[in-house]
This record gives sequence, C-alpha cells and structure tokens, in this order.
Amino acid sequence: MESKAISTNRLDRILDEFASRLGITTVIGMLLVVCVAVGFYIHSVVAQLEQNHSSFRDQNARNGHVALSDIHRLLMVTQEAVNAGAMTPELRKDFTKASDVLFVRVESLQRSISENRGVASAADATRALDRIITIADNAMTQSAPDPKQLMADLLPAAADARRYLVQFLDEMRREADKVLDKQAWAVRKQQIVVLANLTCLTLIGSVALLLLRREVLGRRARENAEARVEFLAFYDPLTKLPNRSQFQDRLEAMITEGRPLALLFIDLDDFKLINDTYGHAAGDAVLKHVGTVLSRIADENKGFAARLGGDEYAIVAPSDHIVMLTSMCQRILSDVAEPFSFEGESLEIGLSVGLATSTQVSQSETVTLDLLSRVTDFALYASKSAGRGCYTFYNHDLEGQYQERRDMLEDLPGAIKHGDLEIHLQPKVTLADKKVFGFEALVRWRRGERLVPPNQFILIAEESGMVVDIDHFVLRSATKAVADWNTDHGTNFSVSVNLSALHFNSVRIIEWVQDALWSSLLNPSQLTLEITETMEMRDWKQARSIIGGLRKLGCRIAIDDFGTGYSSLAYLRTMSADELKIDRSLVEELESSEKARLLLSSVMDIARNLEFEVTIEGIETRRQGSIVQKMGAQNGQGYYYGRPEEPETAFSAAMSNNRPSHQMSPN
Amino acid sequence: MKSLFTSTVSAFLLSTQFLWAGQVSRVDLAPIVHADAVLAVVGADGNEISYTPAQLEELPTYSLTTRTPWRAAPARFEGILLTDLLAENGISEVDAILVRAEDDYSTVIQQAVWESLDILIATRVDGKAHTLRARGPFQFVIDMEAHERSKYMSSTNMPWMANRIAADQ
Repeated sequence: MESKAISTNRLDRILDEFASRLGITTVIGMLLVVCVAVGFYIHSVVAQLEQNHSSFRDQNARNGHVALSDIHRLLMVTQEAVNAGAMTPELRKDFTKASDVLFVRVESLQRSISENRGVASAADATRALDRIITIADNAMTQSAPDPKQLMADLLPAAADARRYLVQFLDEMRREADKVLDKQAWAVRKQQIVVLANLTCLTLIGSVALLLLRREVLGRRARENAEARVEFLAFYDPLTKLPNRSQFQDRLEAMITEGRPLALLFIDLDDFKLINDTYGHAAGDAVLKHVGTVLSRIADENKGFAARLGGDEYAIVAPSDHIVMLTSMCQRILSDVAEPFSFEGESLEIGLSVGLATSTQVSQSETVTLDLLSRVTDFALYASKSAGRGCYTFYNHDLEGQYQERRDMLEDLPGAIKHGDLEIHLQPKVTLADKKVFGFEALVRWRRGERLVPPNQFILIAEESGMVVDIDHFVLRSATKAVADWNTDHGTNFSVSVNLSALHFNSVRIIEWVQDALWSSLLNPSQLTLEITETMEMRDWKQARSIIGGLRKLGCRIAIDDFGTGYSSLAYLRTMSADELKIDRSLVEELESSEKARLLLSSVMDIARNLEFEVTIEGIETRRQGSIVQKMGAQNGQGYYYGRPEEPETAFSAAMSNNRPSHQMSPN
Repeated sequence: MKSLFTSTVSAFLLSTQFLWAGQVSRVDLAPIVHADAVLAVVGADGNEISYTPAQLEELPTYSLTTRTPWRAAPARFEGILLTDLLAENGISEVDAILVRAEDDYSTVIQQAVWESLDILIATRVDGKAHTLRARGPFQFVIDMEAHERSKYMSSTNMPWMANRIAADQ
C-alpha cells in the first residue's frame, strides 16, 4: 500500500512536469516530429513500392510470352501453306497479318529495352525476331513464295528467337521475384513502424488521459472544496445546524417581514465540566445531540435552530403565543434531561433558556435584531442566575436586574477592600433549653442606603471567584468578634462560618483558618465551618484531605443545606463531619404535611445513626420547634429564635436570653 | 495599355490551348482507302455487328492530336468516339467493356474512364489510313496529358489492333 502511494505521488509529480507549458509544448513538438518523420518514411516506402510496381507493370514479361505466341501464329500459317502446297491469297492475308503483329511486338520489346536497363537476352531475342520479320517481308514481296522454302528459312530463326525469349522470360521472372521480395520486406518493415507508432501513440495517449484524469479529479476536488466552503459559510460543521451568519440573516429577514416571532437563546450548563470529565469526544457528541433535539423541537414549531458557537444555541419560532412557547421551553428542558449515553457512560445535560418575543419588545421600541438579541440575553442571564436548568421569559424587570448585577460585579471588589461588607450574626439555640450557644455569621453589603443580603451578591461573587475574599473576610471578622466578646464577657459562644466549595480546591483555606484562629485567639473548638456540597466539589479526595486538615486544627465541620438536593448519601458517608444542618425546605411544611414530618424523621434517623449533631434551620414557629425537638434534633436556628443582627445587638440579645430566668419569646 | 491587355489575353488563350488540346475536335473526313479490317461490336441484344473502318467513319468523326505510350512525338489521330459507338449499339450504360485485339490481347475498360475522358477509336493517323504495323487499324486513343492527370491512367485503357468490343459481364 505504501509503495503504491509513493509511486502514485511520483506519477503525479511527473504528470505535473508534463502539465507545465514547457512540458506540453515539448510533447506536442515531439508528436509533430514523429508524425512528420513517419509521414516521410511511409511516403518514401510507398514511392519505392510504386516504382517497383511500375517497373513490373511494364508488361515486359507479357511481351515475351506474347512474342512466342506471335511466332507460333506465323509458323502455323506457313505450315498451312506448306500443307496446301502454295500461298493462297487468303493465307497470304493471314501471313501478312501475323507478320504485322510480330512487327509491332518487336517494336514494343525494343522500346522496353531502351527505356529500362538493357537485358542481354532481350536484345538477342529482338535480333532473332527482326530476322524472322525480314524473312517474312522478303517472302511477301514475291508473288508466289515457296512455302517449304519459307518454312525452312523461318525455322532456325524461330528456334533462336524462342530460346532467347525463354531466357528473357526467366530474367523477367527473377525481376518479378525481386520486386515481390522487396514488397514483402517493405510490408514487414511497415509492421515494425506501425507497432512503434502505436506504442508511441498509446504512451502519449495514456499520458494525456492521466493528465485529463488528474484535471478532472482536481476539478472535482475543487468543486467539493467550494461546496464545503459554501456549506461552512452558513452551517456549523459539527451539528450541521445553521451557523451564526445564517441565523442572523434569517432572523433579520423575519424581523423585517414584521410577523410575530420568538427568539430563544439556549446555553449548555457546565459544558466545560463535561469536556474535562469525559473528554472532548464526549463534548462533541453532547453538542451534536443537543443540536438534534433543538432542531427537532424547532421544526415541530415551524421555526429553526442554530448553533451560535461554543455551547450557545438559538431557536427562532414564528409565534408569540405564550402558552405554546412555554410548552416549547418545557419540552426543550425535558427532552434534554433524558439521559444521553456516550460510549457506555450516561451523561446528564442541562440547559438554560432565555426567551423573548418581538411583541414584547415592540411595545416600547421598534424591533431590531440587536434589541431582540439583547433582551433575550437578559432572559438567559436570569435563567443562569436563577441556578440554571430552567427557562425565563423576558420582562422589563430583568433588564434592571441585569444592570444591577453588573453594577454589583463592578462594585464588589471595592466593597471588599473598603470595608463595605459587614457580618451579621444569627443565634443558634439548643432545643432542650432554648439557650443560645453560638451564632452563624452571615455577610451583608452596605451599599449606600441599602443592606444587600448575600443571596443577591454571593452568586456573582462565586462566579467571579471573589467569594474567596468574602469568606476570608467573614472568617476573620466573625472569629474576632466572638473571641473578643467571649474574652470581654466571659461567655463561651461559638461561631459558624460558611465556606464556599471553591475553597476546597486548594489547601490555602487551612492556612487562612489557622491564621484567623491565631489572630483572634478563638478556641478552635468554637469554630464550626459550614460546607455545602455543590458541583464544584467533585474532587472528593482533595476535599476530604482538606477537611481532615481543618479538623486537625480542632475545628468542627458542619454539612450545610442538607436536603436541598445536592447532598448525596455517599457524600455523607465519605465526609467526616460533626454537624448536619437541615435546610429550611424540610421544615416549611412540617405543621401541615404528614409526608414532610415522615421525611424529616427519616433524615433524623440517618443523622443519629451516623452520629451527627443535628441543627434544624428555618424554624419560624414554636410548634415547628417542638416538633423537631421531639424528633431528636439537638439545635435549632431560625427567625423564631432570632434574626441575623449586627454583632453587638446579637450578642446582647443572646446574653439577655440566656439569663436563667429568661425564656425565649418570639420577637 | 491596350497592347498590354491584348498580349495578356492572347498569352492566356495560348497557354490554355494546352489545356484544351485534350479535347477532341469535330472534323469532316474525306473518304480514303482503308486497310482490310473489321471491328466487331456485340450489341445489347447479343448480336454482333461488324464495322469496317469506312463504316465506322459514318459516325461523327473527330480529330485528336496527342502522343501515346508508343509515340514520343505527337500525331494527329482521327476517328470516332467510343461513347458514340457504344450508344449506337445500346451498350453505353454497361459497367465495363471487354476489348479484344488482333494479337489475342484483351482488356477491360471501366465505364468511369469513358465517362470522364474522351476515348477516340482512331482509324487514321496523320491523314493516312491506320495500319496494323502502326498499331491500328482500330486504336483506342486518349489525350496523353489528360489521361496522365486523371486517376485512370493505364495503358490498358488504350488497346491497339482492336477487333472486338463487348459488354463485360
């Protein structure tokens, strides 16, 4: 196979040489030379043949034969005269005619001798024939020639003539043979020439055909390349969906038409993770799969889907019916949620969808491509901010929200630096005696007039990585505040601080915690670190080793937001933690729902079996508190026991609460 | 000017004489004494008709000056046209004719030849009656130049001592 490839390359190179102008000119020149040479050669051979033929055609041989016949005729007439006894007038006439014919024959013979090279026997023959004619003419001058005498005179001359004529004929025959030999040889030679010519022409023909083939193949390759270029100009090669160019053109056209339409922007959630975890081949397969699904749904709704690039898609549908669009979005999310398998692995794919209709936009401004894209983008951004895997319909507020988020993103770094962040503390109580034993530290952002709660800026902080700085700030402030109060007032409060999962990618967090403990002089056992399992914490090994390191320092570890769906049982199994914080969502329906109570009870069992201390978050009524206490929870947190306050306020309230006579009362 | 014109025209005419020399020209022949000879023609019906030279000359007579393969110097031949003789006997549409000669020679002449060239059956040479020894008394003559130029050039088209013409089957 390799040698074949090499020789094909060689052949192609040789053909390329030929294909050059010089090459073609040379070949054509050679062709012409060959043709002319062959032409001349054949011409000369044919001329030669013709000459041979013509010399043969001179009928010299025939002359010889006919001369013998003429002599015979003359002798026969003479014999008749002998038999008759005399030369009758009729015989005389015949005799004259015979001698006349012989006369002409001799003339012919003489002419051919003079025209062609002298043949000795021909000369002899003509001389003998002349003698015969002389004898015959002499006889005719007599009025009554004697036949017998005549015969006697004629016979010797005739005998001579006959002999010489036969010799002449033999020579002619030899001539003829020579000519025939020459012809045969010439024809044989022709064979070789013809063969050589055919070979030459075949070679040249083959070269020409190969060149032609290359040309054709080249042209075909070019055409394919051009078709591909055209395709690439408007289509995405991986998913075969229309590309951004085509999307823009078509959308523009539809907007110009003025019909109501809806634009959806669809982004894959955590696509980078899929690529990193399963490889780029899997990533490509996911992109193709999503493209197929979106294309199908778009077709069903008489619209079209496009891949805008990376993990971004768009769908344009010619409708502004909210109900229909809603079901379309739901369909998109549910179809993509079906597990997709690649090489035996089952992959989960999530999408965020943003949608806007031209009708919505046209209420305030004229619809343009840019405007529609922008508002759809806001909707998409809202979906992403809301936690992904959902769809958002554009409304005017979104833009404001988007703008605000942008502003926060800009202001946050400054806020961290300039101390616009502050911590608030929410009390945690032991359910048994309702006494405050510690606080959870929560961060607030004082922005001008407002105090921005973390749920509004933590997501931005996490996306931009600034959450690390925020947590660091919280850690230092909270430990210091509690340690100082404990020192000043002889209390034994503990504090728990939330740590973003981002921390668990590097061991620096251990340094920071240690740092905070040393500078605040807080007892490590009074510091609880609350961790929420999220997607970012996939590297459990690393996380485990870091947690181990933190526990070595003497800190407590709490698993936060248990029950929100992220925390898996396996996680529980592998993480070494002290406390389990059960999310408010499990508490909300406790009073009304039997199912909620059963669920919580089961969770409590698990916690007890795994020897976790349990804190219930989100307790807002006394009844909720007593239910969970009955179930076996140790600690509680929630508005019922106290809202997050500034440290001074929180500490004071706690202390007054803990005084022996004081019972917890609702605020 | 005028003289130049005249000389040009006459030069042209003279030069083209050689071209037209191939044409037989109609002449009237005075009767003379011919040799004893007979040319037999086999008609369309298969009957043989014999012509003496004098009988032959009853057909329209023509004159042709030309050389032959046996005469280097041109001679004036007079006689009748082959085509007229064939027409007279109803065999002018045959594909070829077989001509026999006194010395038992025979040749076949194709229709194409007598259609494209004038074939004269000469009975007189240079004003005198044609004889055996002169390759007569009936000799097929074609203008040599025209004959050589044509593609039918062959001495087989000009049999001498002709004594018989028949359709070649």
